Amino acid sequence: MEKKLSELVSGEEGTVSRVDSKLISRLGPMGVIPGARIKLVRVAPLGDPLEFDVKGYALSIRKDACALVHVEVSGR
Amino acid sequence: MAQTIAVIGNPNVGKTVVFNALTGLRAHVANWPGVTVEKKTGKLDDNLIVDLPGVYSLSPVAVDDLIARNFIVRDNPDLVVDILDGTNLERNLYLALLLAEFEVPLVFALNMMDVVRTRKMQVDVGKLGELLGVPIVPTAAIKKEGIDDLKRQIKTALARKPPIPSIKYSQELESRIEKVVGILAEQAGTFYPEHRRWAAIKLLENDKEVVKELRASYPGAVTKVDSVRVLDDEFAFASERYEKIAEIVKACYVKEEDALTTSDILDKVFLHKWFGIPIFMAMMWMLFEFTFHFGAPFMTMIEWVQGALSDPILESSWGGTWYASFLADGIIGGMFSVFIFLPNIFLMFLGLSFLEDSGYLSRAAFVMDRLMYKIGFHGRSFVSLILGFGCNIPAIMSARAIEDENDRLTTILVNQNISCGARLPVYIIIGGAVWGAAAGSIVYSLYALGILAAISMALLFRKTLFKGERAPFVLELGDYRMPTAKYTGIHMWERGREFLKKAGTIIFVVVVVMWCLQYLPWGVEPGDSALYKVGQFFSPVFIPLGFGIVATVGLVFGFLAKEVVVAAFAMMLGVAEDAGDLGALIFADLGGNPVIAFSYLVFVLLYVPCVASLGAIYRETGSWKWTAFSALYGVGLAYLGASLVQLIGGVWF
Repeated sequence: MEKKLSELVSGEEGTVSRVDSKLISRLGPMGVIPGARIKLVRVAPLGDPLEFDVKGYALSIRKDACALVHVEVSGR
Repeated sequence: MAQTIAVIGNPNVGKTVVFNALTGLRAHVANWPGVTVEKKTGKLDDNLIVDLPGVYSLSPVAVDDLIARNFIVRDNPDLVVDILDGTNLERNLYLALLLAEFEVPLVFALNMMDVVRTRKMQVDVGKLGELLGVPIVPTAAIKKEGIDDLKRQIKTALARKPPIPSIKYSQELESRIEKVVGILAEQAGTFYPEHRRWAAIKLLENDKEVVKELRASYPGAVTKVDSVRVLDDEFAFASERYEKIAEIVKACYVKEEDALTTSDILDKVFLHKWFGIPIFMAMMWMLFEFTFHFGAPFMTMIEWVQGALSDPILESSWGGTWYASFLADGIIGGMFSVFIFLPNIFLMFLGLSFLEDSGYLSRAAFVMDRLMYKIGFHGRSFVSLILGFGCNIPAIMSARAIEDENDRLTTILVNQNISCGARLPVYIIIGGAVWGAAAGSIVYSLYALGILAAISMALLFRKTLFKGERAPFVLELGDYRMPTAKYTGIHMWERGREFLKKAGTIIFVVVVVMWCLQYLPWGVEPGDSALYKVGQFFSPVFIPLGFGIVATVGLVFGFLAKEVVVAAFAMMLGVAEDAGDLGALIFADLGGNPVIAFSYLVFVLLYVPCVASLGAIYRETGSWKWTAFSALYGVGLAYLGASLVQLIGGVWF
């Protein structure tokens, strides 16, 4: 099932399927590229930004940018 | 022959520690041409070592990235030393592959080996070097481990350039690289002739900077390249690089999966849904107290030294002369008006460096970003705004932690609206005389008005000056680390010294000039001085607000420093500064009208905090334009605010 990165719930994990082209130069070097495993670790206390575990480190991204990244999660 | 070595690496990999260990603390700090980013250089034997800003890639996102990228691709260093964080090998190797792709002689330092050991990770360094095809030295720079080996390896590499590894992509990508290399060879002969393969890859990736460079010199070739590129190329290269990295990491790196690290546990507390914000507030309170509370005794000491230096001059037999006053009030006074800020600035930078080096500062940005973003700032602006309540100068300087230029400028330019400690005595003396017991709520309302003005201005600047899409918030939350006294100290000193050098000279000069205006023409009473004349000159502007000449002179002096406003009134009204009825006399001078008195306080709140704050803005923006803008909009806003108070007050009273 495809979701936006901003729609994951805490602890949910997926595989990046699509990154909007205007974010590729920013997110690519950080490891957020199609095929990468990514997990939502937590949401900031005020609801934004989000913290992810990707390539074994902690990366924080604002929700508006997360909405431009698609992930494939194993749907129930 | 002297050669140039560039030190590069991701942010937070201990790059500065390695740099310092290599150069032995004799670093030379200057600015990169055209920007206010610091350029640190040092020597290893006769060779020049340049410390580049921490970056994740060679495709510029912010100013820092552009500097590092341009140094590598344009300045042709003889050797590049890439510092890798051993605890986070995957992402760190990405930059390493990009550098190898540029075909520059490389040495890798695999840093943080002490943490690798305590976390029970295992790296087969020999195999890693073999797979990468680059000499690699394990280091724990903070413990001075491996530094001698690294130095030796650098020297070896300088004497005999190590072979450059070749990175091969899938056949599909390779065939397109070949086509683009062909186009470049044929139509753009002088375009990175030594690095044609690299240029081809960047063009296929649609790297903005390289495309721009090619378009500038060979516009025809750009169209040709565009016809070769397919849509997926933008991330296909990144994907393949990460695939390659995954293979390498798998072969020589063992990381315990799902082991809960100390950082994870600390984050569970510091970023907790309910506790995260209270903890952040407590941290800010501690930083504030540390900066201003601990600074106070040092400031008293500095004032004492100033008195000890200038009093004997003023009390000597020639004490009444103008040159005695020039020496004591002009020169010594000018120097000490810079020194007086040093305790606060150094303590602020010490506290801030501690928070930054420990890893908490990025968490603070994470916790506060939503609120700050909504009101036109960045998560990192909060620290700066809070510090403004103590003193705007360290506050303005703390904004340099914000990467995005627009976010940083907004934070710097609105800080002056936050009511600093020096404005409080003015509120208290005038407020106490006018409202008596109710003065407290007047003071509160002024602080609130300052916050409101800062937010409104931030939103306004966002809509006008800094339009356009806001930079995406992408922030690494690096592992927590125990800061070391030495490096936090170095960090503090390097930042504080900049204030002395850049802002200090401006402040000193302006104070001396103001002294001259106050005493010129020679021998006149203060009431006939040039500065009084300046007040008189501006007086018509303030007549609509009901401020007389004395009140106007107060504002002119207040440009020097806000605490001087009260002293100026005392001087003009011919009473002692600590006279009990000074407040009442000032109130009488303001026509005995509470609305005018309040509008005067609003003016004091909103116009330029002091000349030193302008010095700090100049230091941080590197631009007279922004410095002048800050002064002008401050005065404009103050005038507008004071007028509105009178307009609204006039209806009610």
